[in-house]
Amino acid sequence: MAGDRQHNSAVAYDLSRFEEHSERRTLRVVKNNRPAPSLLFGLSPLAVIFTAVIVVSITALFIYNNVMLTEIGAQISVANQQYAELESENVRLKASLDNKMSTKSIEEAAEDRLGLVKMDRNQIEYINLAPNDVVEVAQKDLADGNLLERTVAKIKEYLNH
Amino acid sequence: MAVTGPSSKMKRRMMVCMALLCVFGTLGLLVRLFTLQVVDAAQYQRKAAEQQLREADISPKRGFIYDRNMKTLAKSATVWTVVLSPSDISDKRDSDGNIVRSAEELRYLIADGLSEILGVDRETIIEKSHRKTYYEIIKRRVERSVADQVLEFASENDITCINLEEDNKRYYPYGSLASTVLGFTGSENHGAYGLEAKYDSVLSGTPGRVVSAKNAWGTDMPFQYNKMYPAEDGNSIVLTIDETIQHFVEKHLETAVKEHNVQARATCIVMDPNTGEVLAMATKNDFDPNDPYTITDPLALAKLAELDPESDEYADLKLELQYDQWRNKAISDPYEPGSVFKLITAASALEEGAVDPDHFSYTCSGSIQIANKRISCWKGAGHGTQNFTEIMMHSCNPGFITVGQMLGADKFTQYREAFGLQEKTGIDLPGEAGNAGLYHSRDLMMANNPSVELASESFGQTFKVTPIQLITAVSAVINGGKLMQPHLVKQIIDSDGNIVENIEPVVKRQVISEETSRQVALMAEQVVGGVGGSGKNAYIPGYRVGGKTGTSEKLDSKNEAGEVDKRISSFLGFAPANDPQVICLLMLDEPYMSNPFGSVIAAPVVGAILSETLPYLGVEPQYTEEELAKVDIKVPDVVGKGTLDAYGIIGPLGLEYEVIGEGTTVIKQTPKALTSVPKGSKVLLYTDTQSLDEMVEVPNVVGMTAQQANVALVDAKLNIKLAGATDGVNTAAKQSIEAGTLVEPGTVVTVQFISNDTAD
Repeated sequence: MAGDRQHNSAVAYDLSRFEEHSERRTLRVVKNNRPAPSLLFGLSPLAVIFTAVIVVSITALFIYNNVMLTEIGAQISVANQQYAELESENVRLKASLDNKMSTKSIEEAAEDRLGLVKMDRNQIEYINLAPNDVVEVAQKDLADGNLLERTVAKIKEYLNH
Repeated sequence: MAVTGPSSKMKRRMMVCMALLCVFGTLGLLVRLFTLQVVDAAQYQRKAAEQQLREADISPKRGFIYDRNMKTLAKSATVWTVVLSPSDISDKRDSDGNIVRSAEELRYLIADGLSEILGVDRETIIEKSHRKTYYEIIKRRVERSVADQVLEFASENDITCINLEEDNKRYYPYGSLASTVLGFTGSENHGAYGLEAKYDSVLSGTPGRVVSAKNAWGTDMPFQYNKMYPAEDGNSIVLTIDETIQHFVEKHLETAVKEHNVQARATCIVMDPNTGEVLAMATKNDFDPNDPYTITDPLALAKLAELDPESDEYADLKLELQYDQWRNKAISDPYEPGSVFKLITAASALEEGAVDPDHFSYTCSGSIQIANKRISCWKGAGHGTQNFTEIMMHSCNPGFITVGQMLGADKFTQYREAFGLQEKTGIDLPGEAGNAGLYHSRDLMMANNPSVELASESFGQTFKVTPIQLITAVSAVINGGKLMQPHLVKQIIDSDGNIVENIEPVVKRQVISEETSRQVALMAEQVVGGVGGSGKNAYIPGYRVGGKTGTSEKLDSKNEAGEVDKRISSFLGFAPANDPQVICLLMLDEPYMSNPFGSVIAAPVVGAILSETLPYLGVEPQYTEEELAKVDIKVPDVVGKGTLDAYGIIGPLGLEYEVIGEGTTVIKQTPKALTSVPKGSKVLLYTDTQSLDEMVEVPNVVGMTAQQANVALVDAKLNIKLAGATDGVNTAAKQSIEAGTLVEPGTVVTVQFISNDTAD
């Protein structure tokens, strides 16, 4: 009450205000239910390890990829070189083959080694055709063929009978 | 006194100093960065590019050369040059510094190994290994198998101073076939001669370039950076040349050169007169373009052998002989055309109406007087009275001098020009020689009347033309009058086979009418097929062959006594005469024999070439009744038959027979079954084994007439088969089985005859 305070004004100053009060602290044990303290940036060690594994894997794969590219590039270069060399060898061999198969070589082989001669005009028989003559190419006689052909020949013969 | 830390003032000062240090330090870095990235940027970019990028040229592939049927006549492939680095020949030391192999030992090891593998002289390699260079070529253009051997040798012996460099080699699979036409390539894979040179820009292509990132090994990293400017491979050319016809020509030309001892080379051209396409063009002696610098002519080699190989004269002569063998005589050597030119004179006179062929008559007395000059006929006794066709058949010089005078110098020179005989043909080959200055000018020929120059040119003397000019002109005479552009290339194709350009036949101009052309062609047919014709040695049964013989004097080539003793024998033939499909001109320069007339030595060669070419081109023979009666027959097979049965088979065919032995069954026959023999030949039938051992000697019938040869061979129990000019006065030129050879009785001996009717 304000009057009380006024009454206390008989006491000039409240020196109790300037007295140091030692507060008695009471310690009490609190069970630690909080999780274990974190290793890095608030992540758990497992996460960190997992992340580290991922990062290392990616880096390693990246390096491996480049190594493979370089090696395969070298293999391609070698293969191209071999291809060019084989192509050249192919040209050389074809040239050699063409030389052996030239008209001159064939004629020499035919005449000198095999004893062949060029076709003589007496090997061609000339037939004089009258104006109404017709040329018909002889068909293969089915009766002289295999079983199927002979069967077909017999059927034809029966139908034409 | 208590220790106190730095005051705030000190802290502030420290902060200022640190700040200043940072600023100055950073400034230095910034300046350096600025210098590197801006001031010296270009220099470092260049260095980086040099280190990180690799530039390589991409060589274009040189185009192929094909014949008209797409057979490859020339193609390129990569080969290697073996290079030695003599400055890298040094002692080989072990880890202790002891010499394991001295430089001298290495030198001899390299020389021994490479000389064996490459076939190079050992001393040459040793000499090169002493030079103070890093680059000595040991051998150029070795193939893969040899390059592998070199690499193996170097690897086995731990030699690092031998290297292989890529190079290009041009392959010509058919060897010397058409060598003077194809030419060859030089050391830089560019055309040096012939079509290789003429079409070098077409065949070469354009080089490309590739710029790519390279790794520490020096190989490409195409996934990083790769910029390519692709090479454009050269285009290929398809020729009008037919390899098969070219072979026919070269085979017979080579035989003619050998048989008639031709001293100054020979040439032959086969053309399609209707299109100007050159089907074959050959010059002998020639060379192998796979090895163009090797001289092949035995006469040339004999000349070289007389000189010291180290001398300058040897080097000069060798170079001269190399140029000689590369030269394409068909386009580069003008010559006096001789009587072949009479076809031009005749065509010109007929076209102008200067001569009426139905009423023309000339009596040849053996010579003619023109102004102050007496010009002889090749037949000293004269031909007597002849009509227009007969002066062509007999190749009468005074007759054609008369025709020339009737035509007149003005018209003669006009037609000479119109037929293209005063200019180059423009054929697509380098080195074509014109004949400027090699004929009489119009003014000179018109200066006098009668003109001696006109007289001599009328029968083909005192002026020169090249073989290609002459065959092109005569093609115009027989093909309906059109002067065609001769050419060797008909298509240009790219590396995928797509046609880049088609070269169509070009008609330069119409020179004479079709009617005149037909008349002259039929006259020329009489030269070959007519009785008394000078070209009968070119006659082919079943074909209408036309032609003209030529024997010209080399007026600018005199012997020590000042006489003109050298000749050029030539013959121009075409078939079929009523519809010419092929024309052939053959020229033998300086045949070394007593009878160098074109009718005797050149005509049979053209006949042989045409007899193979015409069936190949699909021109079927059309035999007359007379020709069919002379056709040979096949001997039937009578082995195993009784003698009476054999009589019954052989007799009706027109063959005779003789039984040898006492048996009744034929155990052997001569000639064998299916042998072609003339009618009337004798077949010997052996009936017991004792008579099988008999052999007879072939007599020498060369030089005999057909009748004499027949008697000689029949007496020797042999059969004769006649070939060549079998009618009229003839002489055996060769026999198929050499004289003195022991053969079975009844064997057929083919005897080739030539007509003795020599004519110019």
